[in-house]
Amino acid sequence: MSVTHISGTITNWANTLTGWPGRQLIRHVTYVIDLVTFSMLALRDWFSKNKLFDSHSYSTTVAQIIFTGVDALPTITFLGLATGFIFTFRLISISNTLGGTNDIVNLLITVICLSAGPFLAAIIIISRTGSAIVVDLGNMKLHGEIEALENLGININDYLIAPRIISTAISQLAITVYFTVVALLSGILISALFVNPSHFEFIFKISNSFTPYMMSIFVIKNIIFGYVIATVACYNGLRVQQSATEVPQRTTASIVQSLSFVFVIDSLLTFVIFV
Amino acid sequence: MQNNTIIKCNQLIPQELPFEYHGDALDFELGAGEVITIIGPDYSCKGNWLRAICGLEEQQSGSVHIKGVDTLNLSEKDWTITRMKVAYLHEDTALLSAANGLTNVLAPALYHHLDEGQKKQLLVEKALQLLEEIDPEINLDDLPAYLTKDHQYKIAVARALLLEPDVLALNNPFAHFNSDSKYKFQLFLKKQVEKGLSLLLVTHDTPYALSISDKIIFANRENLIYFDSVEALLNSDIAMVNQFINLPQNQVRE
Repeated sequence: MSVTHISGTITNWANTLTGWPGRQLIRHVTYVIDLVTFSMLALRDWFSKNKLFDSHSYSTTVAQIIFTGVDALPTITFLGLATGFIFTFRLISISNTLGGTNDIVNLLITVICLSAGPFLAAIIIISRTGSAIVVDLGNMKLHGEIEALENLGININDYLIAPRIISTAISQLAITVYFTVVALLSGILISALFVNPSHFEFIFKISNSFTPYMMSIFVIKNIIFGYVIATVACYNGLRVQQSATEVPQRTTASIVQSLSFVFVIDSLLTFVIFV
Repeated sequence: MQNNTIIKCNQLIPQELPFEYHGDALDFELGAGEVITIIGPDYSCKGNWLRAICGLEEQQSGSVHIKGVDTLNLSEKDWTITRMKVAYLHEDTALLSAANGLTNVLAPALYHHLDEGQKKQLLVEKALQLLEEIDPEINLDDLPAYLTKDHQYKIAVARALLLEPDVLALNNPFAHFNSDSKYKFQLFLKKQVEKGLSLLLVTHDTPYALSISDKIIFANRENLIYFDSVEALLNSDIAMVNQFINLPQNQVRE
């Protein structure tokens, strides 16, 4: 093996190694652009209609909200109670050790309302609604249902995609509100009943400390989470082509991608808000 | 172009033929209430021709005008209307698996707001009447998975007809029918044509094609020949056409 050959091989390896991060970066950036374009097109078609909620889109949106929001209530209630016991109750119980009441109130708002609530609700929605959307759309694509609808002049963006995105975003917000209320109230009640009745005052202090700014962050964060989860799920569902084996593959991909997006968006928002 | 011409093809050759095609391009006009059938040997991709005529497949050459407008110039919104007016169904056209028979029929009509100006109940009645005409035995409460293939297909046809199309393009429509239900469905199609519906068919049922068609297109892998009447086809001296027509399965049975 000549020296030229060896150096050529090393150069190739070096190029491969240095090229890999670049290719990955391009792949991920392209994917994000694809997703944004996909969701924007869906919403454009939805908003370009004469009536935003006609009989079909209204029933689809309501059905999706019921599935995503109402049907998930038992799970969310359980998680809310558990979080209330684990976090709210513990934090209030050790309030004397940690500092003043105001510090605890701020801590509860930051931890329960702005972090744990949206995040846990997102995980529930990813695992229930996100996966259901991928399987639903994937099977529709696989069985030719989507093609048949398109052949009759139905725009699937505003028939199937936009209602799912909008209702998931609304449901994410509603679920988080419910989760947060349950988590805070249950923790405060347990603490007031078993530790100190004066802890009831946390209910009023938290509601008084929840400023419009925090409310805006809360709403924006949850709507972004819901929007992204549904977009990723719809996008993956429609990427199913011909084989039934693609449905579970795309479902897994959707769950992993949604979780990654939620982590990244949460980090970015935390950075923007608190730094 | 005649005023009642709905579809006009000029020098059309589909893009996606899976074999090399060096034959003639397709020129024809489909008027209101006319029936044009594409017949020919198996595996000659007649469905590709039909899809290209309906604007569902890109064309290698030529043009398709639907109601006087070149399909290449149609906007996304125009296509929505065009797809309603030229409804295409293949033999395995899928229904919405999560909706029952009646909901399947109503869904596209509701999407296109055909219930505007009239109550939804009237649209439901119209759908039920259509389904009664097409086959009174279909169980409309069942999900498609619990229906037979021919009932699923009939629901798909009713779904398309509720959109009040000018042209119904059916690719191999009798694939899932037994002889009795096929006969009844053929009678139903004939009634629709008498009411003014235009039909574009691809079928292996040559005797039926000859009985109902105004014009015939013969297609095989080598060439495509357009006949402006059934008589022209039957009197043709083209060997491959005669050979096909004289096959035992293509003879009219008493």
